[in-house]
Amino acid sequence: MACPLHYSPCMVDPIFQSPNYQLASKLLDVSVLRQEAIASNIANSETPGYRRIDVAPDFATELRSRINAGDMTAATRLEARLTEDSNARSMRPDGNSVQIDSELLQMNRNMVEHDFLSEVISRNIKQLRLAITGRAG
Amino acid sequence: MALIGSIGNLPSAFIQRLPGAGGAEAPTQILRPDAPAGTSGAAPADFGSVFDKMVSAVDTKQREASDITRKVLMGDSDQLHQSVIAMQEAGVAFQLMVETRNKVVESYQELMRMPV
Repeated sequence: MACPLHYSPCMVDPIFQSPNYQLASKLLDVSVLRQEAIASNIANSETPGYRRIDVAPDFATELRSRINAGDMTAATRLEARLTEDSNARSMRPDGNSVQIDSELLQMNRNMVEHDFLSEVISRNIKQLRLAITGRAG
Repeated sequence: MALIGSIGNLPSAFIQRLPGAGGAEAPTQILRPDAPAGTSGAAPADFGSVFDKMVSAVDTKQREASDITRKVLMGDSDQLHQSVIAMQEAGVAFQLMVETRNKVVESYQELMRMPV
């Protein structure tokens, strides 16, 4: 990649190019999106005919294939979206496919993932700051 | 046993590599730069190579941590705690390195300020 010296973003951008950092920030977006989906599912647990929504399952496979191809910029450009969960079956006569206990379980799981990803991000940034300033804090 | 053995092996490894840790004549060597080389038999490792080793040890730790984290992020492993521990270890090792550098530079500046 051409990098003219007078073009200042070239000096700043590479700081945040670590694959783990980019991957974690992308997955953090997805984690937030999933939280919205779960919140919507819980809110609509009594709505007749409501079908539970979730992050589209093709996101994970697409992200994995792009990363394995070694194209990190393509991987970060990938956008997750919410779709109706076709695997969820309705257990109730009103056609609602939300199971509240499984939603709560998913929410907890998502929270752990979110905490872990924020830890990865903040650790990366702390390390960079330490490397730049040469002192802790 | 294995649990206790794994704690604190990082600092001790560094300390053992430091010249003078085993009561060698390292300080006098440094204070007398005009002393003929090889007077004390096996010359202690110079600070440059010690620091070099430290840097590569820190680098190895960083790589290990990022490999484990990568596995977790990609969903190949669900050992979140291993990743967090590896990241913390790498962070502390890095901090140790930076702090050592700071102290060395500080002591150099102290020496330069000393009236002769």
